[in-house]
Amino acid sequence: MSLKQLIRKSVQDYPGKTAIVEGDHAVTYDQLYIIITEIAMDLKSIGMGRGSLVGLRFPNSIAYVAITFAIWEIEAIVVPIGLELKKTEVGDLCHTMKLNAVIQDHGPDHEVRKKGQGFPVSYFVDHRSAVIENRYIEKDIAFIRFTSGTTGVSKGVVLSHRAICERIEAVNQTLRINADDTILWLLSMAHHFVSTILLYLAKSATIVIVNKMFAGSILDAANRMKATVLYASPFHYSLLAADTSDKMLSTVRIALSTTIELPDSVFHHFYKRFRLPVVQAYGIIEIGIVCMNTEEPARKIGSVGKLLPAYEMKVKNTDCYPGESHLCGELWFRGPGFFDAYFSPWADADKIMEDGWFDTGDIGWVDTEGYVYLFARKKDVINIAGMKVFPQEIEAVLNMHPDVEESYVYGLKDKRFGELVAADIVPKGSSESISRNRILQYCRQRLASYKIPEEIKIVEAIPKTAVTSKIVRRNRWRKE
Amino acid sequence: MVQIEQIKEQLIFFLHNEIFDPSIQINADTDLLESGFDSFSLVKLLVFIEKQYSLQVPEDKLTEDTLRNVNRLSEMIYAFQEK
Repeated sequence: MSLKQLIRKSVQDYPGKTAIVEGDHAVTYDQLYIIITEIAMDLKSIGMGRGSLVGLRFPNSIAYVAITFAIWEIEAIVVPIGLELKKTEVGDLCHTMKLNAVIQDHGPDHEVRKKGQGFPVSYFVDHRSAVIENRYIEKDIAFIRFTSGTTGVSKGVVLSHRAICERIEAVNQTLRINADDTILWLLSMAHHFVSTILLYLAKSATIVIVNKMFAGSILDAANRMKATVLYASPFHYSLLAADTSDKMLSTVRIALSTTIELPDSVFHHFYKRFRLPVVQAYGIIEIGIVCMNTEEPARKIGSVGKLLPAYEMKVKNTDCYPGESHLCGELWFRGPGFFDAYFSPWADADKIMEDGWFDTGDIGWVDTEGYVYLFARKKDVINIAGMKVFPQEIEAVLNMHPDVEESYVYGLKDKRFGELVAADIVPKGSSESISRNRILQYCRQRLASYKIPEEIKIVEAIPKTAVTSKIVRRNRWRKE
Repeated sequence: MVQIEQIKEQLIFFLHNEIFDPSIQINADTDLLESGFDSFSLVKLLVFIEKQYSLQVPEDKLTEDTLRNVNRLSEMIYAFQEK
């Protein structure tokens, strides 16, 4: 099964049904497919094809979806590039991945490409090389995503057509998206696509793109379009909960949250305002969505739900993480649709996993009824209101600054956003000679804004392990 | 208490340096949302306001109206200071 067959099935079954709404524009499934095939032909005509790595840097739009499917239509590989990334970060990504082309929403006027009758899509292609690696074709790769930038420990997760098809079927056994659903879309498509947008279109649902983040616009769109599914971050839910109008979300059957732990207070405020429980789910790009609290969201508040039927779970090393009344352990999962490889350095997933089991690095516990609760993350990733960054990526930039001897970046707990970035810096010269402002300015030119440290401390030394001289990363517990 | 004109200046400086592309010139009337202010920017802005003015803007004040431009934003911050 390939991803282009998924969209074709919806086109066959529901040609005249609205696929995507964006502001005043809407396209039906057959219109969307015409746009996809026109863009696909265009991309082919400029030398892209099977196994090409195509970067996509585009805002949320009908065009974003059409271009993604066009890339799959020609059996090339989609590499989403977040809009928030700075030029140097994008440059690093293109270089590390040896992208064959990058498609963007802006460029010089004479290079604009317009395709799609009735609903023209404009884009710009920076064609870079025609060299294609055989292993992408052998493994039938569809999608490669870096959590954040490519430096540090971010490895890039490689997904094949098979993996993606399997994982969306697995999650939909529980989510049950179908042609009667209308999904209100608030997140970044560059960060969320395969288990969401792709799933909705494969199941012939309608997607409503809301590019405004405020409660008023979200509620208006939900009511006007009779949305049945809301997929948003805890931050959106807290904005909605504070809305003082009398508008309700009466058509919504499920309000989902996955990007970061939903604070209990947000759950309660939202529930009080809309009489609707926010459903938490647990998913990471390597394995897809493996837990979802659809059954008892209002009774099991704070839980990411039960294990989905397609998966197996084990909790390992339960004696290593005491500290609460529950015995916590590392969460391991096994099941369909897991990733195929890490990109940089390339490592096949079957060599990383033991007998099909994937160690998420997250710490959690399970109650007597099988509900899973996340407790902490073992991995270093910092999560700022759902946007993730590895500290090593920020340290790499800080360490390049001429006044910095070395640095240590970590997450600071924040009530509103989960975590914020903080850095300890050992100066090269005296501590008086180093300027925080100069360092911040340096970061601003090289890092997406959410990755720039909110707090910089000048320190004399950074704790290291005695033997390997590796930085000792403190345990960052997630529970209040 | 920080004067409203000073709040405006500080906000413009912050938005120009940390949020928008350096090629975008902004003033107190620039429509922020139309200039590309998104939820990534909102997180950054709220942290700035919290640090600079010791003010945690309540969620119900985060609307299209209060975040329309620097003028509206400054008025909101100023009003909170007075309370």
